[in-house]
Order: sequence, then C-alpha cells, then structure tokens
Amino acid sequence: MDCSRRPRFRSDPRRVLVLAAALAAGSVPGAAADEYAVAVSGSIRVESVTFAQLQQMFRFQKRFWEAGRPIDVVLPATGSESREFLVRRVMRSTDGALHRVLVEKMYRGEMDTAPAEAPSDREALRLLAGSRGAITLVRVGAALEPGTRWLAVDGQKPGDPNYPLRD
Amino acid sequence: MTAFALCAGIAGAAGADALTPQISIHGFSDVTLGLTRDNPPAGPAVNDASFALGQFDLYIVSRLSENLSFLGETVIETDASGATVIDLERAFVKFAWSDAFAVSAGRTHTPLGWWNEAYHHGAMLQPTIARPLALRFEDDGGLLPVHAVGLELSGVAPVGGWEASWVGNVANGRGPIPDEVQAGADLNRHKAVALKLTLERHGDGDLAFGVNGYLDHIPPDLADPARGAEIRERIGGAHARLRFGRGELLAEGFLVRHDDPVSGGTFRHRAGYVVLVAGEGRARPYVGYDRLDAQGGDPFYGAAAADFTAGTAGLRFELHPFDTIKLEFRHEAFEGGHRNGLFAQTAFSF
Repeated sequence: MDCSRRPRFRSDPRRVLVLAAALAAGSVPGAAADEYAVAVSGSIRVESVTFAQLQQMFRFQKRFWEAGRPIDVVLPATGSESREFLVRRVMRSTDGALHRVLVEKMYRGEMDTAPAEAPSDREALRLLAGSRGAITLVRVGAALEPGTRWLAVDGQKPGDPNYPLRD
Repeated sequence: MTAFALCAGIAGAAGADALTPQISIHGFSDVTLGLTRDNPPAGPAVNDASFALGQFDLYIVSRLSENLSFLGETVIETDASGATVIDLERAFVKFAWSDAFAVSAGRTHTPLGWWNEAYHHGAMLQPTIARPLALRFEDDGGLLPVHAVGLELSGVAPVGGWEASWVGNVANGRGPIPDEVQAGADLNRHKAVALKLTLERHGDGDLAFGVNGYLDHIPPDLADPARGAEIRERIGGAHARLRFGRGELLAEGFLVRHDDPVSGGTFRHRAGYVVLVAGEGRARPYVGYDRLDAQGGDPFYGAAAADFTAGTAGLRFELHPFDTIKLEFRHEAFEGGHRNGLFAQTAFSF
C-alpha cells in the first residue's frame, strides 16, 4: 500500500514545512473550524495516506501499517462531532452499520478486539500516545499529546485548499 | 459494551503484551415462528404452527498478542427430539503478520463461496431466514463440507484499484458420512485442499466476485458395503456480491462431482442461489431463489441429495444493530411434493 511509502505532497513543499512545524506544535494556522485532522502514534513512519486508504482503515478493511504492525483504531465518542463526521464523511456509513460491521469482523475472525472508543478528542490523543500503531480522527483544534503526530491525507494538511476532511 | 471495548482497546492500542489474554465473548441466537403446510409426495397435507428456538451460538475472540489471536465457537442446539446437542464449530489460533499474510491452525470454516465464511451461524447477519440448501450444515442435509480441521492461509493485496483476497487450506476433509468432520484423525492419507480467490472493490458501494475449488478423497465407510472404496470429490464454485446504494445482490453456485470406483459412476450435483435485498434503510424487502439439481444414486449422499427448488420473499427490519426482525414467505418444491411456509424471526447478537 502507498501508505508505507514516503509522503507525496501535492502542495507547495515550503508551505508544507511551515504547516508541519505548526502542526508539530499542536496548532494549525489557516485551518478552518469545520476541519478534522487524523492523528497517529508517533512511532508510525507513514507521513501521508490517501483518502481511500483512510476509509479502508476506519472501515477495518486495512489492518496493518506494515508487516508486524497492526492498526489500532481509536473511535471518537458516540454522539460527538468527530464521530459523526468520521462515520458520515469518511466511512460513508451510519453508526448502526458501524456496530454491525464490528460484529461481522469479530465473528469472522478478522478482528480480535473491539476498537477503543475515546470519550473525548483529548482522551483519544492520550490513547495514541501510549500506542505503537493507533489512529484516530479529532477536531482540528485539539492539541497533540507527546508521542503523537498528525497524518496528512492525500498529501494535504488542515488548512490546505484541497484538504478532504472538511465538513 | 462501550466500557469493555474501551478497556480492551486501550490495552490493544498500547501494543504491549497484556498480563492475560483479552477475551471478548459474543454470540448469536434467534427465535422463529413458522406456519407451514406440507404437501408430501404421498398422503394428506400437514399443517403446522411452531415456535423454534434457533442455535445458541457462542464465540470467544481472544487477543493473545499484537499478531496472535484465538477464536472458539460453540453451538448449543436442540434436535428434533428435544435433546440438547453441543457442537464445537470452530477453534483456531491465528497468526496475522500483515494484510497480505495470515495463517490459522485448527477448525475453521472451509473457504467455499461467500455465505459460508461471512454468515455461517450468524442468523442475524444473513439476509434471509433460511440458509441456501447447499450451504446448510453437514448435519442438516447440506451438500458442502463447510468445516475443516487443518491449516489455513489467507491474505489480501491491492491490485490496481481492486483488492485481491485469497484463502487456502489443507485439512483432514470429510469423514465417511456427510455429517462427519474429521477432527481427531484423518482416515486416509489424502488431505483436502481448498482455494478461494476473490476480487473486491470498495467505495460508496462494494463489488466482489470470485471462484473457489476443493479437492478431497472421501474415506470408505466400513459399515456400508456400497461405500467400500474412497470417493474422489471435486467441488468448484463461483460467488458474486454487489452492494450499491439501493440494494444488495448475492449469488453463488457450486458444482460437486463424486467419482465412485465401487459403482464406477460419476455423480454431479449443481446448486446455487440468488438473493436480492432492496433499499438502504432499516426496512428492506428481499427475494431469493435457491436450487439444487442432484444426480440420484450417489452412495455418499444417499437419499439426502434430491432435486430441490425454493423461492423466498420477505422483509427484514433492523430493530437495532444487534437485532433484526425478518418476515418471510417460502415455497419449496422437492421431488413429488411441495411446502409453503410463513415465518417470522427475531435474530440477534449479544
């Protein structure tokens, strides 16, 4: 999968560097309030994924970052804006269908544990901090925890003109 | 469930070895009311109205480490006499190294078509109340060896904009009679081998189609003089699943061939079904067609292999993500007779 390769930024590299520095500090200049960001455990070597790959991860279809390193999805809390956006815009599904998918995946032996469900964006990022391969989706305003970082989607970061995780 | 999922997820996401395996216990069951009118080949029609408690399916999924897991599944059911029967359905340990490679050892579902691995005992998951005839369980007149004890390898890899998934296994295979899955030993040296290849495309809809093959030598049945030698069994199949905004289509077909050296005969049985589920909401109507063209005289199946067709029309309503209500009318035709039935079922997960 492309997501194990080096990032392929389509936007201006200088702008990406500025954004990356800002993101590393936990703030997103130019990011709109209706944007969402993907955060991962800091040890993940992937810098960018395509939107299709992101869908596969949150649909539990793609289960590994690389050989030997499984993807652990941390879901935003039921009823939260992040969860609603994740299910509707990323998974293109419903919360009920998500529950059923989890039952199906566990019954088929494709998942060995239910995903974590974090009560808040902050808690989701805390869970990532202690993980080797976790991923979550939070509102752009959330502050990164040490040991976590942002993941670009289609080479775009929040605030980029073609950033896909915008409501 | 949320609290449990959170605890399990935290430990799982942390990626550290837990002090004990992290176990999730879930299951399926169902209750069905059936109103039927049976018109047998001889004798008067028989009407019946009965409640039926479905299988009590209990499965355990346990994460042993980041890459190692266990799944065990047990079914408790009552037979026609009311006696309780307990069957070990699956028990396997799985080592998953990447999306492209996983290996499982133990008792698994044989990789034959779509339904067998996707739904199996999950009555809530399957689109209809009744299972297609070919995919009924070995102890319920099914045509296929739906369970296997052995080694299974599987994986999925991207191919262009598609995903190619594969499942192959080497197993003991069938016992001397259709009901028997050889779990403790293999009565002959030949191992059953199966391979399923599926091409899938995911997006706003899903498209999957594939083929599967199965080879085995069925050991002789020493209690039956007509079964004094091994029967060579070959099974070929194809499956397709299309899920789109306004519905879902599921279709499978199988050809079973038995070469029997005692009678010198070759017996071919064809089976298949199509199910179309319309709509995308909680209430979804469906229709289905199920058919078996059996060749008489097969010493392995005996009288169990007989021509059969069934037409189904129903409505499934998702009361909750973990509980589905189904109303189904079914007409079944078999050699010399037919049966009509109206069924109502609640099928749930817990």
